[in-house]
Amino acid sequence: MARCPFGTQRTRRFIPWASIAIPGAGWLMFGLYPSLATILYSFTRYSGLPGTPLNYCGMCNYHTAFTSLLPQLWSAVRVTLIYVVGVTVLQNAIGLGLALLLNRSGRSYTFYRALIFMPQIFSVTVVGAVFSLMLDPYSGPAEKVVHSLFGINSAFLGSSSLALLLVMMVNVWMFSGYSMLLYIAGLRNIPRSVYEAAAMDGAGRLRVFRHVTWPLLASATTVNVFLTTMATLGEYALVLVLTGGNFGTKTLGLYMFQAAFGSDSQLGYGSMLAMLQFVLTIVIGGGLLYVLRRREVAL
Amino acid sequence: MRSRTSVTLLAAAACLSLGLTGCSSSSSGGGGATTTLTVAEWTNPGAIQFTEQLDAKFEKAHPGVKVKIQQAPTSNGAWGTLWNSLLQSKSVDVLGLAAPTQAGFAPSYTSLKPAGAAALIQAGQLVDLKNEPFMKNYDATEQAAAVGHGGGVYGVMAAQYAAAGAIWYKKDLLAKYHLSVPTTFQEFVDDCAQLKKAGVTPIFVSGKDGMQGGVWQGVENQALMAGKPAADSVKVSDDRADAFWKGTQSWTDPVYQDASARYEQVMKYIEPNAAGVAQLTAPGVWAARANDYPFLLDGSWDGAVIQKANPGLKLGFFTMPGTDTASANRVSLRPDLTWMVPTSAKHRQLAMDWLSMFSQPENYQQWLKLTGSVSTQPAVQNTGLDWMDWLNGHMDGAFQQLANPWVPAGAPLDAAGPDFYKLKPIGGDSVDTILNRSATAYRKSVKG
Repeated sequence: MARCPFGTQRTRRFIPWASIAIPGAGWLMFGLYPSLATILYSFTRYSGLPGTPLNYCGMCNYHTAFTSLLPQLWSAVRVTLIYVVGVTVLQNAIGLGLALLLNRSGRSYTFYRALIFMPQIFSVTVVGAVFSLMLDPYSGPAEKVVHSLFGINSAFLGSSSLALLLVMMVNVWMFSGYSMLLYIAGLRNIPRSVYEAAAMDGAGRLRVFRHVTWPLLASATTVNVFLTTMATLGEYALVLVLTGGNFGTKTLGLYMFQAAFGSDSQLGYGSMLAMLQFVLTIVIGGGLLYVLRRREVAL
Repeated sequence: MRSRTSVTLLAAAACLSLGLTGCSSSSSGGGGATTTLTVAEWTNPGAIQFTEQLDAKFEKAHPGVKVKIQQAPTSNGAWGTLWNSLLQSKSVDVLGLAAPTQAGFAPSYTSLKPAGAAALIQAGQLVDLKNEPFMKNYDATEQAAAVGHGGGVYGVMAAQYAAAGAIWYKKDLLAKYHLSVPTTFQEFVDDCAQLKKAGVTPIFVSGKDGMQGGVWQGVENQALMAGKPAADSVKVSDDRADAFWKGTQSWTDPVYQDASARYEQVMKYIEPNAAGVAQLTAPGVWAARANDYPFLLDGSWDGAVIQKANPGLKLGFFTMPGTDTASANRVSLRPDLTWMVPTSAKHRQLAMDWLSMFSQPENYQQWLKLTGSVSTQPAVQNTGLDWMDWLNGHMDGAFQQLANPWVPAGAPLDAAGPDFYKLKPIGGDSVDTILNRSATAYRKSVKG
């Protein structure tokens, strides 16, 4: 009988069970339990503090959100949708452009790829603090640059017309490197022979991109667009650090965070907002996946 | 193979036991048994420095006891997460939270449930300190207003600050332009006009974090409390909240129109890009520019930060006179750090001993000096700081800052008062638009 690398025959019988039980226990504890608790809390006026009563109130939070506080909810959803569309489009466009530019061999290209990917590994708080200082109208360098170039002053993150755009730009700066890597992986999967055939047919760079590269990047685009959309749908941390949700930047994620964990918070109301965000994510994510998959098949 | 399995199991058991001992609050290594008293507070450099000094004294007076400080900054929800976790794990003995005040306990007819410290008090999660001997050092009425409920007092309000209408000023700049600290609203506006005429931008403010709202709140507080004794502030807050709830008062009432008109007058003199200035950097930037911006709109808690940024600055403080009657321009004080003892505290008696030591006048005096707080002990005054002179001289008639009307969780910012981020000049909306929007937002919020 062959020797078993993981203990005796007897212990080996338990390995499949253990393989299921250990991650299963983790999922029950850190996945299912919090999800069920969120559903339960959404029907309460629970403060979220230990020892305080749940205050079950049925559909009260849902009723409040869709009646008296509907304008607040709608405003947060609207900002979230603008944020999602803006960041997804920009991040993918920049990520693809960088991928096309840096998909070459050589140490310098490896260095540039690493440099562009680097912001992804920084904590959101650090990035937020750095950009807050850079965009400070008195002590930050951005104001000096803008003033010397255009002769104007700006409050940057304190401007209702600029704040959301600036937060989106910081998000794009942080995560474009990630999109770039996914696109580079997609580009490297395209067979060289296809490009050779196109070259023999006399196709120029633009035509090659339009009729060869772009269609064959469909699966990478699906992954990139889907992941960016899902990540930005729940965005709150970067907005919190940069603007605190003021100046027209309060996303649904931040609205939920502040309702659940801000000053004078109520976890019950926050949990209800988390449930609404979950539904929004399912609807948008599901719809997007359906459209992108169909596009892949069509291409 | 069996031996490999056994070794793995032993290693796992060792890791587990090591982890568990790490969680314990008492240890018996090296120099004998020790008990760890855990004190938690948000990161405030002065308060932390004082707590470390007091802890060293406490450890000396209580051999075998070690005091551990748990702290996190208030920004980005870090402090909220920490104190909630400490309570969940029953591993905090003395907890510093913001005083809930009576506004935290909305009456039952509103169906609103308390949050934060008020929720803990109502659920019986905090120890009643009313009869503790050290409470005699504090003003009983003030403490009851800040952290009392149902006849009990569930904490020691150790710090309070001037927030509404609080203004720092540069003594040298005022002297240079032959100006004195104003006592009426008109005097203040005239000072600003004169400074502007001389080519100086009068006011610096962190508009990004809403500090401009203090002007409006200062005017509103002084107007609503005019002619009333300081002890009535809780009643004034409650009556106003009740009237708002019942619809007999609203944000479009004349008193708020007047406060808004005065706010507009003051805002004409702020730095144009104030909307982008963060509260974190504002005191330092203001202090560093010794020849510009004579006034800074900011709470009285930032004195140490300003002085550290520019030690040579001759610093003064006053609260903005919101009316044209000097006697009505009283100081309003916002309750701040309040020490509480959770019922789950493992070392309740030690926690009481720590609070008792904290409350001793010589220790409390040092606390006031390092935090810049206004004293909550009648027998002790904050005399260690230059800029406290004005506040110490204006404590007669000082009252607890009025609380906003009750609003449900998730309500928009507008519902609890004007949205200063949208109001001109920080935002683009006029006073009428803002007040009408607030009145509508409030009514909509409480309708559900």
